[in-house]
Amino acid sequence: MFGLIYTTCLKKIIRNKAMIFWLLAFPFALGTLFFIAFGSIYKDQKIKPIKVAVVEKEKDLPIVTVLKEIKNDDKKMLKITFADDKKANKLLDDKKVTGIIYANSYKDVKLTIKENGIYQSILKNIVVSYHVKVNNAEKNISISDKEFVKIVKLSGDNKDPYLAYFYNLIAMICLLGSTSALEMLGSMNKDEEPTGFRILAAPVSNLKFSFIAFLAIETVQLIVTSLALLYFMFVLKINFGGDIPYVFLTAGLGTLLGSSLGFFVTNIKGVSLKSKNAILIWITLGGGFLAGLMMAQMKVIIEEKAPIINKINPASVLTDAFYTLNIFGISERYMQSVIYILVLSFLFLITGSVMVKKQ
Amino acid sequence: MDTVVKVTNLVKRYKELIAVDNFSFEVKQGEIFGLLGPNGSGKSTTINCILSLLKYDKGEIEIFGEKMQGEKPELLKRIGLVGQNVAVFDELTVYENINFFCGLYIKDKDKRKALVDEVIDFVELNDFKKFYPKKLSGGLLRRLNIACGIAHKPELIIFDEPTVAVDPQSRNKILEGIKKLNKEGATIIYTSHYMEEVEEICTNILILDKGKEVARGTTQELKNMIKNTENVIVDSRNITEEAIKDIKNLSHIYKVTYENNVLTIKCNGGKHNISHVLNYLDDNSIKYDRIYSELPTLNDVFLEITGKELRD
Ligand SMILES: Nc1ncnc2c1ncn2[C@@H]1O[C@H](COP(=O)(O)OP(=O)(O)OP(=O)(O)O)[C@@H](O)[C@H]1O
Ligand SMILES: [Mg+2]
Repeated sequence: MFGLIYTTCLKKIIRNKAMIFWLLAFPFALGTLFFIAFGSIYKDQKIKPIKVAVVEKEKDLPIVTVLKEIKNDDKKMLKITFADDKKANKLLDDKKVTGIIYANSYKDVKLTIKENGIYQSILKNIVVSYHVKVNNAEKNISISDKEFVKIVKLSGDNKDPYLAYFYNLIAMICLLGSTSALEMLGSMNKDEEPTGFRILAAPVSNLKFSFIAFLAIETVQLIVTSLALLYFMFVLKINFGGDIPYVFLTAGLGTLLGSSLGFFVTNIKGVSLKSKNAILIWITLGGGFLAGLMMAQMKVIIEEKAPIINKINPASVLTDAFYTLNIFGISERYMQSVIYILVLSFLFLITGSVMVKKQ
Repeated sequence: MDTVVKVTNLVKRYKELIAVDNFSFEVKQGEIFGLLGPNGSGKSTTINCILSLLKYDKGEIEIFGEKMQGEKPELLKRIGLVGQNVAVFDELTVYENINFFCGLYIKDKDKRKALVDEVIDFVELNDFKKFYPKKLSGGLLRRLNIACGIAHKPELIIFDEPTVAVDPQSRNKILEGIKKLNKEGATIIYTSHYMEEVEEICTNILILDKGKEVARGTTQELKNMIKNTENVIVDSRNITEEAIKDIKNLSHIYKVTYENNVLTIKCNGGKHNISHVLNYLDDNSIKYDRIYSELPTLNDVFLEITGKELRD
C-alpha cells in the first residue's frame, strides 16, 4: 500500500508538466538572471579598495577602528580619507570617494552615497552591520570583533557580495515546494476535488495517506533543490562558503520546512484551495522580500524594527542558517539554526496532522 | 433477507437549508435500491452521510449491521462508491487509475492485477488502458469512473447519478452493467433524477423532494398509489375549447390539458379509453396526426403527489 500510494503521488507530481516546469524554471531562470546581473563582479575578482570619506565628530569612535580593521585577503578593503563635511561632499561630488561615513557618536553613524552600485552596497552593508552590532551589544548579545568583521566581510567580501541573494533564492526554492504540496494534497480534499471523496471513502486512514503524499513531495523537492544547487555551484561557479555537504544539508532542511509548511496550510479547514495557494505565495514571496530577496538590507532593517518577524518568517530562518553556516562554520550557532528549522517543521507537521484527524 | 443499509431518522442541515429532512429507509441484501428525486432533493447528501463523508445533525446509520461512525475501515472495505462527479487523477492512465483506487482496498498485487484486468473487461476499456483521462470521451470517462469504484468487488455499491451527461448508448451499457453486478451478488444503491432508469433497474424506490420523503415502494406499488392509470395523448392542431370540455365528460377521464398542440388526457380506470377518445374525434371530424396511449410513469407519480414535474 505504501509503495502504491508513494509511486502514485510521485507520478502525479512528475507528470504534471506545468508544476514541474515551474519548480525547475524558477531556480534556473532566476539563478541565471542573478548571475548575469552581477556577472561582471564574479569575473572581476579583484576589486580595488573602496574609497570612503569619514567625517568624525568625536575622535576614536569604535566605528573608525572597525573601518580600519576591515580587510580582505589581507589587504585593507577601505581607503579612508578623513575630512570635514564640506570637503567630503566635494570629494563625493567629484566622484573621488564612493561615500561619506559620518561618525557622529558611538551609536550615530550615517552613510551618504550619491549613486547605487556594488561598492555603495558594500558600504551600506558595513554601516548596517555596525548598527546591528551596536543594537545587539545593548541587548547584551555580544558579538566579538572578530565575528563582526566576518559579518561585514560576508556582506562586503568582494568575491561574493551578492551571495545573500543566492541564499535567498535557495530559500525561495525550498519554500515554493509548499505550493506543490498544496496541489498534491488538495486532490485529497473532499471539498475541492471529487478524488478526495473517493480516497475518503476508501479504507485507508487519511493521515497515513497524507503522510505518504508528503514524503513524495519531499522527495521531489529534494531532487529539484539539489539540481538547482549543483547548477549554482558548478555551472555558475558560485562559492557558497562553508562545507559543501552542509550546504546541501541546509538546503535539504529547507525543503523539509517548505513541504511541511505546505502540509500545514493545505489542511487548514474552511479555506478554499485558491486562498490557500495565495497564502503560500505570500508567505514565500513576501517572506522572501522581508528576508532580503530584493534588497539585501531588508533583513537588517527588520532585525532592528521587528526581530520577531525574522524568527517566524521561514525565508529568514533559512537564509539565516546559510549565513551562520558560512560565517561560523559547523558551530553551535549553526546547530541552533538547524534545530530551529526542525522544530518549526515538526510544528507544522503536527498541527497539520491534528487538522487532518479532525476532518 | 439481511439488511445491508439501515438509515433511521436522518437529518442534515446546511445552515438554514434542510438538505435531508428526517427520513428512514432500509436496503436489503441483493436489492437495487433507487433514490429518485429532482436536482437538489438531497440524494448525494444522503449518500455522503451514509458513508460518513459528511457530518449529519441527527439520525443513525447502520451498514452490515454495524454502526457507521468515525473511521470504519472494515466496513468501507466492503463498499464501493461511484460518485456523481468523475473522480480520477488526470496524471494517471486508465490502467493506473483503476490499479491505484483498487489498491486502496486490495493489498495483494497478484490478486489486484486479476481484479483490475477483470473490471477493464467489464467496462470494455481494453483498448484504452494506456489513455490519460483527458483523452477519453465523456461516456468512456464515466465508465472509467465506475471501474475505479467497483474494481475491488464490493458487496455494496453506491452509484450517485452515474449516467449524468452520458449518451444513450453508454447509458444502456452502464445500466446493463449494474444489473449484471447485482446478479453477481452486489447490493446496489442507485440515485438518479431519470425516472426511466430507476424504473428500469430498481427493485425498491424512495422518491425524495426537497429533502423530504415523497413516496416509497416498488414501481408497481408506487403506481398504484395514484389514481392515474393511463394517459392518452393526441397530437393535433385542431382542438377547440369545446372539444376539451366534451372529452373531459367522457367516463374515466379526470384531467385534460392542451399545450403546444399536444392534448394529454389522464384517465383513472376504464378499459377502452383510447377508443372512446378516437370515436369522439371521428364523430366530430377532428383531424389529428397521432394518437397513442401510455401507462403512467414515476414522473406521473411524482407529479400527482408533489404537483410538479420531476424534470423541469
Ligand atoms: N456544501 C453545501 N453547502 C450548502 N448547501 C449544500 C451543500 N451541498 C449541498 N447543498 C444543498 O443541499 C441540497 C441537497 O443537495 P444534494 O447535492 O444532496 O442534491 P442531489 O439530490 O444530489 O441533487 P443533484 O441531482 O443535483 O445531484 C441542495 O439544495 C444543495 O444546494
Ligand atoms: Mg447529487
